[in-house]
Amino acid sequence: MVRVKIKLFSVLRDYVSNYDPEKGLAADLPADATVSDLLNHLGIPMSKAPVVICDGRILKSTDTILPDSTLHIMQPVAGG
Amino acid sequence: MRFIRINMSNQEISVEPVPSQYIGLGGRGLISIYIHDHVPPTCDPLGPDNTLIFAPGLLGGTQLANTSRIAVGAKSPLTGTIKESNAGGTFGDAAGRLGITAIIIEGRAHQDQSWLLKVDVNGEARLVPVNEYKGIRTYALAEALFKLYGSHNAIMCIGPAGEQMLHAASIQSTDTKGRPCRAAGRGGLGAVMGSKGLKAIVLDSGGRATDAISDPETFEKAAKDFARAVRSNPFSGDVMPRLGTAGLVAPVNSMGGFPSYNATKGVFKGWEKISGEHMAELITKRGGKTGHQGCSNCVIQCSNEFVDTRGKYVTSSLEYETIWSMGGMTGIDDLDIIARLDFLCDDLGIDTMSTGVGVAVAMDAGYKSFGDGQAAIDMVEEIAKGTELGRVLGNGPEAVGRYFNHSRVPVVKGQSISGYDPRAMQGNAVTYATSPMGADHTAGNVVAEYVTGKLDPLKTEGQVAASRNHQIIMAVVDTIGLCVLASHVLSTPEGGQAFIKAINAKLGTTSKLTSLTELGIRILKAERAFNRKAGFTNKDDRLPRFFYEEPLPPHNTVVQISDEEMDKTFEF
Repeated sequence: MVRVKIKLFSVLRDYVSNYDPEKGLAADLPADATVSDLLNHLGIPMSKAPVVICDGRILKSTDTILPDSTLHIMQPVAGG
Repeated sequence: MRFIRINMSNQEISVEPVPSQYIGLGGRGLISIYIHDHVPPTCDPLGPDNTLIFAPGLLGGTQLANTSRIAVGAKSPLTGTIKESNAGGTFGDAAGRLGITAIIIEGRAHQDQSWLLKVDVNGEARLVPVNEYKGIRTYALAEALFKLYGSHNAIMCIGPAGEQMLHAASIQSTDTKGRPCRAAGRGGLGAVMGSKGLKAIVLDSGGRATDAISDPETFEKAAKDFARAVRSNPFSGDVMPRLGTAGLVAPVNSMGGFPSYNATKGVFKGWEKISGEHMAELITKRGGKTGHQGCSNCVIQCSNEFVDTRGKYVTSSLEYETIWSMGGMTGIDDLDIIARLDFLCDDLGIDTMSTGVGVAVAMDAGYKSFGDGQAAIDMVEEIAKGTELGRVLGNGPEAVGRYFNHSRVPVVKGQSISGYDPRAMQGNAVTYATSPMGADHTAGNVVAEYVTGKLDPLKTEGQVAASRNHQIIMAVVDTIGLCVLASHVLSTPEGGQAFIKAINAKLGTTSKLTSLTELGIRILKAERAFNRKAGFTNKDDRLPRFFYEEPLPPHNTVVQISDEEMDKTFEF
């Protein structure tokens, strides 16, 4: 199992009941879990086009989640 | 379709049909090509030979969603280049409904005079002397003018900064509630308006003379499809109504590209305190409003009304670029102070971005400490007082750098960068360096390519092409009068198809979406040609040295796009 810290943004916070923006949340995932697995675990649908960022890098859906990562999950932005 | 031409030197007004070479143009495209054709490139931007143009987009005044932008353009006193800046609010829609293709302001009134241009519901224009409003701030001015002419009007005006002809002065536009809180902020066009002796333009919003639509039935269907595409898009349908553009604070910091403490760091320590999420929570808790409609004909509703702890109005709308410039760049992590600074800039009629970056440069030079909110407010108030420091700050970050002998000044062609550090987003380095408008977030922002995983922001490959494509797209978008926040659905099949169908139905043409590329290139070529004649060369298409030499944490990268690559941007 790998333990990760997750921070959710924008409307994606609605997918986790009683989400605490300051603390975020922790999740335990299987050792070979991918970004897709993480999103499934959180119940965030792909229709919301979630973007997962770790250490300043945008992850692909097939990327494996590394232990002790802090993951920011949000929707796409396009400038404004 | 008509031009209203005003000669401020003698107050003559003429109305003329749009010459054939400008048919099919609007907004930025019309402005740039007209200026290229008629304005002497080496003219003094604040002299009588410069021309200031207000032009709604090609689809302004129609029912196509989010096409109510008003474009303003002239030779810029800030950049020395051709400059178009556009604003939301209600003015663009009102102009379109009056059948106005452009209001062309020429000449220059005597310096003792101040004028207001009023266009009534029948499109009749007249100049009114308004010396009594000299020096008045924009909120008080708008209130007085609505009282005088009625709330069924739309206003664009300048404040004290424009009257002082400060090079970062904005032109403010009234929103759906009549507040002058929308801005054509970039390029110092407020100074050009001030130089002309024009304090405000007041348009009746009830015009019924929108240019004819060739195929109204098809247009109506396309407009419905387009609105549906905008609403169903995760960005324009989810993030923007909930958080507004402030929703960008989280992703840009998460990517390490949020220029902070005068562009010395890529992540702002207190970013969650100034994030869109926190802002929305604060506004809701205090009884303000998110999901507010600031502009005519908008289906996104990204605006907000920021209120204080007692629920009293402070400003609208608190936007990403202001939060960045007044927050990240200055080290201020307090939204209440940032909101006050936003209001102050709107009220004085000055660009929040140039002003925030100017404050940051002064702080970096040691004049005040990063994070000192009261110092920032005091500095901006100096602009209103017309003091030496106020005039320096009002002339933009480059002037501030010179004043304090400080070399870390994040500008290109005199205009500050936006809230995306070019060292962490190499494509935006290309846009900042090469845009005919100086560094500008609306000229071709590449951030969407990164967030969607199409391009690695830290590598050099593909950045020039991405910047080129976005610069072309934005030239078209700003010609149509489409809000940039809605423009992103053009890359979706349903959004793109609905959009081109609407344009064809409007003009009676059979163009393909891809053909709009030619229009964008035509506009960029005209802008580049003007700048060349004004004296600009490839050597001006460069970023300040520190972007090439000082690595930006956390990625510790510098701009890596070579000069040779930069020079390929406009090889079309």
